[in-house]
Amino acid sequence: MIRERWPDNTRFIMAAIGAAVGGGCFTAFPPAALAHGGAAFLIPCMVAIATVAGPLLALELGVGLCFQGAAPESLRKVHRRAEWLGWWSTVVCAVLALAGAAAMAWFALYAWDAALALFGNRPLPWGTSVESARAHFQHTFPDADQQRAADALAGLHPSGSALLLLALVWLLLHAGLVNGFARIGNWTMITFPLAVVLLVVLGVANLSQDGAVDGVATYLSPQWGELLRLDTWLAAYGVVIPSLSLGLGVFTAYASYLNRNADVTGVAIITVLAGSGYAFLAGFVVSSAAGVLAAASRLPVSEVPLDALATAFVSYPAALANFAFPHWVQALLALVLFTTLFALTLDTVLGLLVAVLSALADRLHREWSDLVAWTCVLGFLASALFCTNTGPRLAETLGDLLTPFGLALAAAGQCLALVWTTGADGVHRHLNAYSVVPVGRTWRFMIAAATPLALLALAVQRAVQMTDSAPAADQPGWLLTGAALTTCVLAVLAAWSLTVGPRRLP
Amino acid sequence: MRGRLIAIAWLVLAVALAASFVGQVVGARVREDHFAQLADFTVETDPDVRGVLLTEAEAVLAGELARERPDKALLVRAFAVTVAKQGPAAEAWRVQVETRARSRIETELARRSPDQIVLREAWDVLALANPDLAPGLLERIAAVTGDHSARLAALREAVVDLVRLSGHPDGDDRLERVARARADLIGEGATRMNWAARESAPVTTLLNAAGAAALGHFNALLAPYRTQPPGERAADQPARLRAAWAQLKAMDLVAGDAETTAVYAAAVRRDRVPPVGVAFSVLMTGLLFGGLAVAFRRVARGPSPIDPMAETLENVEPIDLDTDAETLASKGRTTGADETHAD
Repeated sequence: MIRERWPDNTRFIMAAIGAAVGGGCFTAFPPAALAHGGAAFLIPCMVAIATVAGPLLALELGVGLCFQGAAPESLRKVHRRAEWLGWWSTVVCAVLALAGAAAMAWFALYAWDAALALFGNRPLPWGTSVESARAHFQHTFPDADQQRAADALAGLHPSGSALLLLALVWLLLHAGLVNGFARIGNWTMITFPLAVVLLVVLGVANLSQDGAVDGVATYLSPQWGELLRLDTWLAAYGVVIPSLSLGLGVFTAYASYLNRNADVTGVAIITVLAGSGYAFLAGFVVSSAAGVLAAASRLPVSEVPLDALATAFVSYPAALANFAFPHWVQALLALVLFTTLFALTLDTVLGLLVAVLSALADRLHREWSDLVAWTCVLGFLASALFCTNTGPRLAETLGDLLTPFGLALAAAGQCLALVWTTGADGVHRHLNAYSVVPVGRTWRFMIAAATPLALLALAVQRAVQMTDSAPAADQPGWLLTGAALTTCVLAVLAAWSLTVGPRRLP
Repeated sequence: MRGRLIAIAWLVLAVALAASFVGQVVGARVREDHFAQLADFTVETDPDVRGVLLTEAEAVLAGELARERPDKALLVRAFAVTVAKQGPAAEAWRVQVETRARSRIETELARRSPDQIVLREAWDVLALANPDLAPGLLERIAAVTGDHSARLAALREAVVDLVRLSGHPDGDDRLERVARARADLIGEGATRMNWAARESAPVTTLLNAAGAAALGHFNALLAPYRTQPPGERAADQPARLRAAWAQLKAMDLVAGDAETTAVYAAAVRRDRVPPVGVAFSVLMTGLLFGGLAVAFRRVARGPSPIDPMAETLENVEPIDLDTDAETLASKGRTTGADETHAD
């Protein structure tokens, strides 16, 4: 079967950057930096980039390039018993893509609110305080802020407008994917630069406001004591790896559509640096917004709620409503904020879906357009679960479970499988044959030891955290631990079952 | 065929696991519904509704008592409804609950490492059924984790020091010491103080004193911002306040009302980025974006020409793999040797 190719290197690089720079760079990294020592947190992040992110990205790209298949197919070529590891990460990709598509619908919903305020020259509907913004979020997604895991699944009520927007999102994704890699490349040539420009616009607007400097000062003031805590280092690895969409097989799938003599180590470096650079800039933007909100609410910056959901839907929108600008400018900036988040998530979801579709295409040898159509229809139906009242909390809980027990364990398993077999040798030789930046023994050490160790540490730390925090959060420990284990086991079983069924010949 | 059967078996197992998880979630939801229903019970409840709720409560209570490990919260709530609200079978339930809870406590205390959660649940229920028995059992449970007098003494000494140096620069270290001693005393872990010991009168009093001393020091640091004009405050006061605030957070203490928080927020607010922060941002910008520019340049330039005489030639042979990939796009538009092997 003829394998499609990227039209050119520029589009491939932009698509890779787009896949790497997701909403996490905006909503996960800055809050983590503010919580773990400000500028001092950048040191463990740089170490995580050097020891895990860079080597892992080069490995993923190298595997796709060398073996010309998505993660399951490539790992099958390495060793037939390693295929299920590829399917494991593909299953995780699929779930994250569903949550990502739903997140795009939520951003669109808030962007719609902002557009109404813009054209009506009205105040932003979520008000100026954390409490009012939280209440608006609760109104949009009733009961979404409940802490109990059981409540996240119970009493689902679909949100009509969110479902409508979700259908549009899947139509958009279908349009992006159905014509193959030329269109994906063309889209990311627009969306990523747009996200950069809009981020700069937000940053400039923030810095003109009272209190913004306090937020930036908090972000850039290093608390060196944090570097002595293991939690800080694990938090850095925990932010860097999922924020750059690593360990999911996205880059393996992307690289499998390059000619085998393409250069990818340079692309790996560019992608990691672009992702890190974007997250670093987003840190300025989010921290300055937190400073504005803190000044307006007469709170210290440390008391502004800044988890992933709160940053996107509570704190930043509330900060915008406090800007000393006319209502229409506030609404315009809110539109800019949610457009940025939408664009970032779109590129990432396209990457996640390509990983899933490529795995299916390698396996089933069906027409790409058929696979895209079926995936989008099923994806819409499945992601409708995230457009219910408890959708955001459910997505957050799933992400919380899938990062350590899906992504980290699958990526660690893939590294070890490649090192154990001759796969890593092959990738090593292949990368050095064609790439502008050769990889050496240090890279081999990183993928054989540092990367699996860091990924396993993430999973262990999360398991320990869940066991410790469960009674305090009034959650039965077994429920959360069971949910985590069930998620993990289900992903593994689904992955394994996909490897042993009948294989259709090309 | 065998592979397909294995796949089906795994999928069945996966579905069973998923169903089990959903079952647990549904069970938790049913429990919540029971809570909600029983929580509606008040003395003003309509007699008809009251009768229905009492029947429901007794059914829940009977179900929970029959289980190996009753759901404490639900049991307490059901018990409260049936017993505390003077239901018709109140006394009978009270005796049953007391016997059950006491037997559970004795069983746990007889074990080498008792389960503190079970003890806590059982003691809560017992305290509801028979408040006279509760203090004596609490002392016995508190004694399980051993003697804590040394840690108590350390915290007491730290608190006395902090009270003496409240607001003084040396008080910052003492506050840190109090926070450490407190964490050492009541931190999680089998060898540390358990919940019963923590709730005993001497410990509660000492913890309250520690909290009061910490808040006293914080408020002393904050006092100049309430009373003095800006010029008369020490330059290092905001940094000391931030450190004190962090210690209060570590001790799970709330600094005060909204007004105190606002004064603190105004006190620690910065109008410019510290020089080390500026240096850091310049360094990071240089590293990230400089590196990005260099990488872009390298990639655009392509790989260096291959020297046929180089010893490394043998190392650049690509791996020969079985792949059925073919190129679709025309040679001129592909990403491949023509682009990357520039001469």
